[in-house]
Amino acid sequence: MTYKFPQFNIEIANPTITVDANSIIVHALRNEISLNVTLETANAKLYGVELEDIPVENLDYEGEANLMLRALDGLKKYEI
Amino acid sequence: MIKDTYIKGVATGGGGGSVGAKLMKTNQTISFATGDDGDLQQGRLNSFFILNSNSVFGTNERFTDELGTQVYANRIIIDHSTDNGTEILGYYNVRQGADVWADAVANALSLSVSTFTSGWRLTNFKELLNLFKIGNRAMNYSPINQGVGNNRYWTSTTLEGYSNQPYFASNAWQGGGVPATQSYEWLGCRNFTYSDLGVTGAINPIVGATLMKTGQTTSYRTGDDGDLEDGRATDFLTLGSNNPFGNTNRFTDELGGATYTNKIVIDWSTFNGTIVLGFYADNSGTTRDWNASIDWALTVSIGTFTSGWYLPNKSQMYSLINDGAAGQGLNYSPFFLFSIGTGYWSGTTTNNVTTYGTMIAANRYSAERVIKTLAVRAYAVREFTVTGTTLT
Repeated sequence: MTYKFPQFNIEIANPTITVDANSIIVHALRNEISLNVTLETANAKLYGVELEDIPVENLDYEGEANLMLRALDGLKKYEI
Repeated sequence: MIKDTYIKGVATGGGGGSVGAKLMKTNQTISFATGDDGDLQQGRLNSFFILNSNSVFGTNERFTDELGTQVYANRIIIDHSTDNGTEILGYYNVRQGADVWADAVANALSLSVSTFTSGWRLTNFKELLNLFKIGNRAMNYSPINQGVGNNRYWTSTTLEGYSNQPYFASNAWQGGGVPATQSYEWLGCRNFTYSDLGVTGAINPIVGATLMKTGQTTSYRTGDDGDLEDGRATDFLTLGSNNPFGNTNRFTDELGGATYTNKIVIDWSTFNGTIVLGFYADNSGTTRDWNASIDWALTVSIGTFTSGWYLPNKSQMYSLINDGAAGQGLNYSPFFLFSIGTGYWSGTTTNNVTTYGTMIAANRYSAERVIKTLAVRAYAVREFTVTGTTLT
């Protein structure tokens, strides 16, 4: 998978994705969360991005176990 | 009064030089925008922990104990990035205190560790911030090992014009002047000669450089920064020897003068014999958020210097803060020739938290964690190649 973010002038291909479990921000009224994610490329270059406004169905079930799924949801709009 | 002497060394790509040395890397390795600190990773050393060449102990480790190993039995940390060819800065990594500031200064002077029974002092603010690393807590890494707490540490530096407001820095990237009656912890340091370390002879190339003076010249008690004035150069504005233009001015314009027609300020304290850092001191008063500042700096074009500019990283921007400047850290020539502001973006993201950048608060002489959407001023910086007296 390749991603393109407006703040980087390069495309990030097939990165290893790491989600900061301490970074989850819950927007309870909107049923959305935000996450900080690090993308590491094959040449060990690290890119940090904030994934905002990820919709979730039930905030009661949001936790560490499904953070990666939520991160992948948040990354979808940056896929090329 | 005790005065430190900077010993001239052989100019090398590694750092040591007769005039200056490249600034250290900040250790930011994650990029949050093209052109930011994590993208460019400007600075001396292969990484925060690895020297460009071998130390007096024959390894490329930036930090060792006083025997050249990683054992640290006496908790003494030698920082070889500060090796000037005769002396190296070393720290005692056991947190001391908490003390009021006066006791911290006095107790540091009487520190005795192993056979090193004298010569210790309270770290000045450049010596303390020299240990700060991007990521996690500022000093939560081996061998400094100051943990994950938000501990506050005294420095020996007092803000100019605030006689009862010494400078502190915390393990969580804050700093500033506070009343001296606060009780904070502290770290001691001392200069270790090659003889102290049982090393004979010299190394070539010299692997590091003494940290610059803070600029404080007023002493508020014996043993403080204004008393010791420890550091490289004659003073904050005067080099220990001539720059290529034949004068000892730390700052000149790109022609070696003081006209600053292009608002380009060359900092000769960063000259390693080949490369020198120069700032574009934008005085338009324009404020931008962090991302816009990054983009603006990348497009700066001044005179014949049409490319290569970028937003200074935290270390580069903070190196301009003069603790001897009254009222605010950029209030000195040449920068006060221009309109100066109170806050300037650096290209460094604070503690690797995506939404926070490191702003240099000139009015508080500090580097601060600020949300990236805040609009403040910015300078741009680039490296200039020096051939004789021609900068390209």
